[in-house]
Amino acid sequence: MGSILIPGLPEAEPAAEPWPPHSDNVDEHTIRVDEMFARQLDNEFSAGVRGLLHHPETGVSAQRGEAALEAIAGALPALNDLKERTLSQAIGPRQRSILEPLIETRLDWAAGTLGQLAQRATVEVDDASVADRVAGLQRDAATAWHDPAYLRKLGRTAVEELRYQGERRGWDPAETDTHVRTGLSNLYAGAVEAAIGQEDLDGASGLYDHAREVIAPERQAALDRRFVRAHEVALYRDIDRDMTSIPIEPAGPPGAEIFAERAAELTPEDASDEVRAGIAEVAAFAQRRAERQWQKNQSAAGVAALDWFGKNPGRSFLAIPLEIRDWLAPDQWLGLEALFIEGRLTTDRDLFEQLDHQMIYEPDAFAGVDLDRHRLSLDDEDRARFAAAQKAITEGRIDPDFARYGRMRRGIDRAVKTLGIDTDDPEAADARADARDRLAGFEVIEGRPPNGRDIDAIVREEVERAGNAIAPDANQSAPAYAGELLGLPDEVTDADERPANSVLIEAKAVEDDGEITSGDFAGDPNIVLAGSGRPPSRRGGGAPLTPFEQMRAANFRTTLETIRQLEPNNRELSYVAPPGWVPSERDVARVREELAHARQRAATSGERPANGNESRTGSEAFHYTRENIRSSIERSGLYSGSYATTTGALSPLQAQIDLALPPNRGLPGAILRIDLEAMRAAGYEIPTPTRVGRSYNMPGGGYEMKFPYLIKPEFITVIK
Amino acid sequence: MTFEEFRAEMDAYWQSAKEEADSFKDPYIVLERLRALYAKLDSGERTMADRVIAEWALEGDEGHRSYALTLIEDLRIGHAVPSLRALAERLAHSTELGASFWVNRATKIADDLAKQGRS
Repeated sequence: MGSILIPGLPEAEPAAEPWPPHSDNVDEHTIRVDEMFARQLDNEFSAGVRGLLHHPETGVSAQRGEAALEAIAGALPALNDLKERTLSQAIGPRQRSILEPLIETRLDWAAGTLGQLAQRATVEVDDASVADRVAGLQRDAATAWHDPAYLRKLGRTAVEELRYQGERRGWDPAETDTHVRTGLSNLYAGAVEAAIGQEDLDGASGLYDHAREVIAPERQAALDRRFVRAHEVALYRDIDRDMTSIPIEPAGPPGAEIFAERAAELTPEDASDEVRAGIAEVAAFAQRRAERQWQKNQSAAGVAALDWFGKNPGRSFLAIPLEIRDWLAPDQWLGLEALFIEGRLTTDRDLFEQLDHQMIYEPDAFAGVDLDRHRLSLDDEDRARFAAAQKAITEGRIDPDFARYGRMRRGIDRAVKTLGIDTDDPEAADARADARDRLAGFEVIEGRPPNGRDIDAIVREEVERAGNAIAPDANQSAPAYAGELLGLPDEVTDADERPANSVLIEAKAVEDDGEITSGDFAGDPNIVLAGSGRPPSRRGGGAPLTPFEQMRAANFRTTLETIRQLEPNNRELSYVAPPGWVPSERDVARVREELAHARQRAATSGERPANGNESRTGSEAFHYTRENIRSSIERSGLYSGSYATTTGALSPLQAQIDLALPPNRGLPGAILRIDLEAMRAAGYEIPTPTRVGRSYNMPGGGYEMKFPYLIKPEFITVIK
Repeated sequence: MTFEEFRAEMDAYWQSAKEEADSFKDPYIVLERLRALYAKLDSGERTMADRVIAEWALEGDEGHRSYALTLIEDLRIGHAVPSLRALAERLAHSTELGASFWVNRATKIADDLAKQGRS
């Protein structure tokens, strides 16, 4: 009796069943059931065979080359297994006798298919091996391009390989010839490209000339382009290499003009515009590289000098090796001298302020600053602070201390500006320094980090202190909070707001110390007494001026004096001011602008200044200097390179401003008169005065003359 | 360090100080720098520095000469007296502008130093 296979149930070993006796009991129905089961098993076998041979991913026909051959080798045992499994499912000899021939037929077909697949795979494997072989020959040719004999041997081998492949594949002669030509072309073109790649353009050209006839035209065109490009690259490389030999001297990085001149010398006459542009780029690059190297050398020298100092305590800095000393810039020397004197690094305040400003307002640029360059000008603490900020910026993370300081600095800067204080001024720097100290010590004192309100409070208090420093009158102290500063009323300067009962005084009323004494102007037609003025916005009367106000007042006066020389009737020469009035930054800016206009008008009209005495050499000149060297000058004269000006009436502060003297060397408290008349009589040529330009944040505007020789004491008289 | 090397160092230092002085419009910076340098030298180096300064005094360049004379006077460099005498002698008959000033100054410094040496 037959059984029905139920998937998932274990199959029982089929019991040996006797062949059904031919009897009347074997009915047609039983035979049909056997046939039906046999057909069913055959269908399953057929599906298994199809899957084995033709599954789109895992079937033998989906494989290529060696993988296909391996799959074919494994397919035959798999088919036999499938056959046995299928036959074992047949029940009884009749089903088996029906099924077996069906399976055999399908196996014959499968064997035929496998044979075809094996043939295809063999061809593929053969082609791949030939391709590998030829590729290997091409690689050998690229390596041995300079050996013509070996190249010929490689070429012949490639031709033989390809011809033999043609024979195996049954190609016709034309197809074989095509393959051979392509293989040979690739071999020689590859060798030429290798020669170009190794920058041996002469060797590459020689080989190319020799092999051109076997290289396909399209490869020739590509090679021609590569040769052109390679010649350009070689030219750029040679020029660049040449420019590396331009010496980098400690005195300064080689200028762009040196590189441009050298590039012009090295540019071939027949160079195209494109090549000339390329050479210019190379020169510019080389110059930038030289600049970077020069800066690097300075940085390295600073670090090396510091190391040397640490390893050679007590030795003279003359013993520092030349290769270090030569590269030290003046500011590094100053730092080094301070180090030798004080035994520790000290921070240059100007540099600190510059870096601190950049850190907050130009963080990207700050992150690129080479702190090693300033190794001798920053003490360890400041350097560590800047280095930490650079690291945080570079890593793109928010450093809490840095963020707090940023908020504080921006707040202070905004507020002091509103007070009319330039953020570069000492008052602003002092406010920031004090605030910085408070911020740094906050957590230690309070036991917690400062929050926004704490920072704002620090800003408020320090700005208030700075405001009081320039407006010391208790009744007119600076506003209490930065935000309130924005609401400050304007000072009484605008003509439209001039009260009727004000004092109209002449510009020179503002003395050096900023005090205005109407008595000085008695009888001066430019002074119109018109009663008392509106109270000053920031100052009460009588309080001494701060240095900042003195400087501003002197600046104001100097500018008006210059305007007077150009246009004696200029409207700015009379202005309204109450007693004790001090010009604001806006006032100074306004008269500066007026001066610029007056200069422009004078230049346009061709008029000469009404009073040009300052610009002419008269019978005397004046030297403003420090008091502590006055006696030395009286003894040994004024050294060559000394400066003098044409007026002897400048206050120390005004002299510093008009003559743009460096502020870090103290005010010039001594004035010496130089007898030019006597010097002329003695045969000296007197230099012509020239206008002093802006320098050291000083506006200049006065006149100066530089003496290229020593001025002897006999020509010098001490005035003050 | 040989004397030639030392002299080259001193010249380079002078040049550096001069450049700084020019930038600050203050020639006295050179003197300050040279004094500071001298203060840091050991006795052997000072002997060589004295020789270099004495040589500067004899130079035709007024720039070197003026600083040298001040240094000789301030630092009381007795070894420079022969150089001062030689300078005075050389300029005594010179028509150079201000030659008499240099003669007088060199002679005065030399006399003072000689007097100090005797006392």
